Amino acid sequence: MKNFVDNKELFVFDGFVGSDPKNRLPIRVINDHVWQNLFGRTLFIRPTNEELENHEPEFTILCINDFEAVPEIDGTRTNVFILVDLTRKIVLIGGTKYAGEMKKSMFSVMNFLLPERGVFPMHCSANIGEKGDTVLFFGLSGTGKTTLSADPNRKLIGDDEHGWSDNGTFNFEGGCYAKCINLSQEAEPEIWNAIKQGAVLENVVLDDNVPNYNDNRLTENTRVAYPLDYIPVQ
Amino acid sequence: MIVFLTADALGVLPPISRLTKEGAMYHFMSGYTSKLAGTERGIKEPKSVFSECFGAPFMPRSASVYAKLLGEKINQHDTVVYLVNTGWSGGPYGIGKRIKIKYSRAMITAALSGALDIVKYDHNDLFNLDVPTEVDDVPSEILDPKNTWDDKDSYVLSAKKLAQMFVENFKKFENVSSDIIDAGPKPTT
Repeated sequence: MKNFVDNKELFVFDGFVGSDPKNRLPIRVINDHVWQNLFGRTLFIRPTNEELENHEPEFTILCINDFEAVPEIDGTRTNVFILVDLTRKIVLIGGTKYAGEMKKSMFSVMNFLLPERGVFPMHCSANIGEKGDTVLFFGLSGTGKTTLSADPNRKLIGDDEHGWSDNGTFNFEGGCYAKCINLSQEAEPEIWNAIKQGAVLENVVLDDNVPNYNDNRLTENTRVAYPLDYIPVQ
Repeated sequence: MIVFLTADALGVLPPISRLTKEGAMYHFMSGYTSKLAGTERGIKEPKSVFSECFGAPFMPRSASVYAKLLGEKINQHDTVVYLVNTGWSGGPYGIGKRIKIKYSRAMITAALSGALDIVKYDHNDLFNLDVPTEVDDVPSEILDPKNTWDDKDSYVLSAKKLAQMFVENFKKFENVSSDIIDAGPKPTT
């Protein structure tokens, strides 16, 4: 993999997993495609200029889409690989362009590390009411996590990955990764309006440069990544 | 407040139940939901899945580690936990219908407002769950799923089948305290 990226143009993002300064993990994301790096910048926590100056990554994600494994040689099941090494603190991803692998591999890393610190890592959405009352919605895909946590009377904390420390609930992420198959402005105005400059559409078919959300020819799992602040706070 | 969401395609779990701490740990470790057979024609039987901690692929430690943290947080904060079935009612997938989102929302609103702290609960002996008998803006008859099935015998058969699946699945966990195991469904009821 190292040889493969030699002399290639690479894109690097330095930031964090986890919005809680006490429980965040400094990371570095390295990609061979710029849109993948923009995804990392969108879904992970962006550093301040000062934080960036002194950034020392504890985990590195090397996600090289154009590099494929050879199962006979590498011992992988297919040409696609997502390898998480908790000892060497590195994630290697190749053979797939599904950007979600970057966020979900770091989610797994957080789920490994945080219990030792007494922090409860959770696959849930979360919102908070005016009185500071938090609701956590656990559930697998398709059970209503995103839908039920989007409540006009409550503020969304995040829709997928959270930690619960002694100081409350915090989002691991700096963005959302919403499904957009059959997306309509009427049914999901928040997501619709978040798709603007800076958002990353993935596997969405364009007709004359206009997204066609009803087109599933590439996959049902079409996605958009956008920063949390693209969803206005009520 | 914590809500466990499950899409029960068998249509047998109550649309909302309140869990004890042990019940919460049991259902958290079980992580039950249903995956539908996609868009394939002719496949009527959805697949029940148990995904530990509602996210098995991303949870590298054993489920008991996360369940213990859940139990600690519930104790510290007196957190109330509900199990909400956003899946089917009136029969399984193919016969019944998906529970309306507005009903699920109304149930969560009622839970948040404290209204469910003062209503009467029925105990569902088979699933070992406490089910509220009334929720504002939700027809009371749907709160007990058996009422919504035309064929009561089929309901009982399906419900027992699911209860048994819970028990079978839970056997994979070792060294779990008996309080937690006892908080699960009772298929022999």
